Amino acid sequence: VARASKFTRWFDHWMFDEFALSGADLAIFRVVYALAALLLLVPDFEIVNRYPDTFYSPPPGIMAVFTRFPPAWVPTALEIGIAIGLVAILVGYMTTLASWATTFMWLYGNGLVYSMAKINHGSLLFSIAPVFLSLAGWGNRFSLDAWRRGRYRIVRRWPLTLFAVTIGGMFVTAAIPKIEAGWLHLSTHAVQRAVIAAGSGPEFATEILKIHSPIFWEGVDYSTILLETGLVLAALSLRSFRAVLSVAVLFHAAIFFVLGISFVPQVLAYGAFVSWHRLDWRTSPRAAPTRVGTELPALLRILGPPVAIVAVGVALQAFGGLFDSPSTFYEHFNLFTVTKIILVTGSAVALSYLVALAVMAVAAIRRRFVLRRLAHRPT
Amino acid sequence: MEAPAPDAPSSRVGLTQRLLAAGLLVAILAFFVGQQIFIERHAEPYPGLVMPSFASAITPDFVAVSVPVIAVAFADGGGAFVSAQDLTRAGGNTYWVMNNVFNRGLDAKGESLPGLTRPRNVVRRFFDGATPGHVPFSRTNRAHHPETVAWLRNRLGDLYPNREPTSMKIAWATLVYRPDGKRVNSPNQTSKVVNIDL
Repeated sequence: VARASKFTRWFDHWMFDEFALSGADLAIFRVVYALAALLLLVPDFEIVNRYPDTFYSPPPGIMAVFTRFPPAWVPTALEIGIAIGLVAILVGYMTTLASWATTFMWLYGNGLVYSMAKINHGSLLFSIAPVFLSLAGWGNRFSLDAWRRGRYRIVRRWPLTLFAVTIGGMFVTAAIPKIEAGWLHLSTHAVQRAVIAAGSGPEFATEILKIHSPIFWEGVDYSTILLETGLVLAALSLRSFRAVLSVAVLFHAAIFFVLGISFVPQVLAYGAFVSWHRLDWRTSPRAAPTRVGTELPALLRILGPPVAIVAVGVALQAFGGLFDSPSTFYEHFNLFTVTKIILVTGSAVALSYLVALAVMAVAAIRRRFVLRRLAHRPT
Repeated sequence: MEAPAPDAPSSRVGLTQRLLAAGLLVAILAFFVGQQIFIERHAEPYPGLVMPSFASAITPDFVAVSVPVIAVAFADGGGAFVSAQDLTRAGGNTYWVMNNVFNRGLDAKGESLPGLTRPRNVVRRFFDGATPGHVPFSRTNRAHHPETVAWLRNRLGDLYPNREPTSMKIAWATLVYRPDGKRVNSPNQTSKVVNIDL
């Protein structure tokens, strides 16, 4: 009985207290999410209108119930619907309905595109995030909903715990086939194979292929499996989950620069676990303003500096070759550029977090060591 | 009136929410288990909670990659090579579109394999995954279907406005690379040739 009650207490803490993000954190992420989606990631479903129904080859599941592409207006309507949903999420208007509707439209629209070729996993996590976050209450602050209600609803933490478990589980689904295929055999260097198959297009592919050490390539294989199986265990605490997510961000950046595969939407989805309010020390997570008028300046204070920094980065990248020709801006300012900027920014944040954790760990060990020495000092 | 605190510590979570949270956790874990069984028996479902596997492991000596080489013949007696990218306009999905339509369902000579018929029953279609790693209807010949041929004629008409295409040949070339990325064979080694009369 005592053991059961200990487990229950632990479970209670883990499910309902551990992922202690505030309403401000979630709401700021809601704005970041909607802006990123609207500016960078609104999907192109109309591509399916280019092809005949003989190209419709769905994977098992909901899409296989249909036998052909829908009428041409459907993909267009989905794109418009998602844009409307994202604007509603941005301003926090009917946030829960908008979040769920956006997720379902996104899943169906992506299903159409994936029925033509293959399932692209890069945006899956990003598209399902609104469901978890609306349950948590990402519309409870900095939103028209809060202003209309005139009162402030509490944040639920358990949807964030479930979101963390879901992300961890998804990573495990990537690890299982790798293990089955022989990634852990010492004679197989699967990442090396993937880099070769990707060709010399990605920025560092040629450079990394100059490394011939089997220890290096097998080490990369093992590290990948370790990361993909470890994230679900890391979800047992917010700190360890953030630490492993930080490693995952660096992992995604490496994949992009070596394999040319972008997981930017996924990296953005990890932002659900960032304490965004720390960008402005004046915004207390426990403060509970009820009027939009009082919250807007705080939101601008928090998001203003990082948005300005990223904008300067984009401008520097975009105008890097400005004097070559007038069209240079459009040549440089493309999704590839933005992908690089997001991944580099995300990697910087992830590295900073990991360094901060390491510094804290060293300080804690030193403190313990000093306390132990003091305890043993003869009085 | 005092505004409620923005956080919800566990002591404030009611029984309904506790049951809901625990139930959803069990449901998510059960979903992952069920999904994995489905993947092992059939193929990856959509939508599913899955990350990409990149499962294929390297052999120590070489890596083989299959690429489509497309040649078009015109009524004026001339010919031209078309890139799969230009033909399909499918961006990063080009290889997969080509593979689905102009490779699967065809034997080495480009003839139809004994095909699966598309089930009429909705429930059977839902689970119609054929073998692991293959999409449904993967053994259906789509390359020679009249809709595909009509589409190809239109597309090639856009690419070559003043010429009349008469046939198209897709040779699936096998490129073999060494582990350092250097190619060790010529692109003339083909595993499959698909001829389509336009």
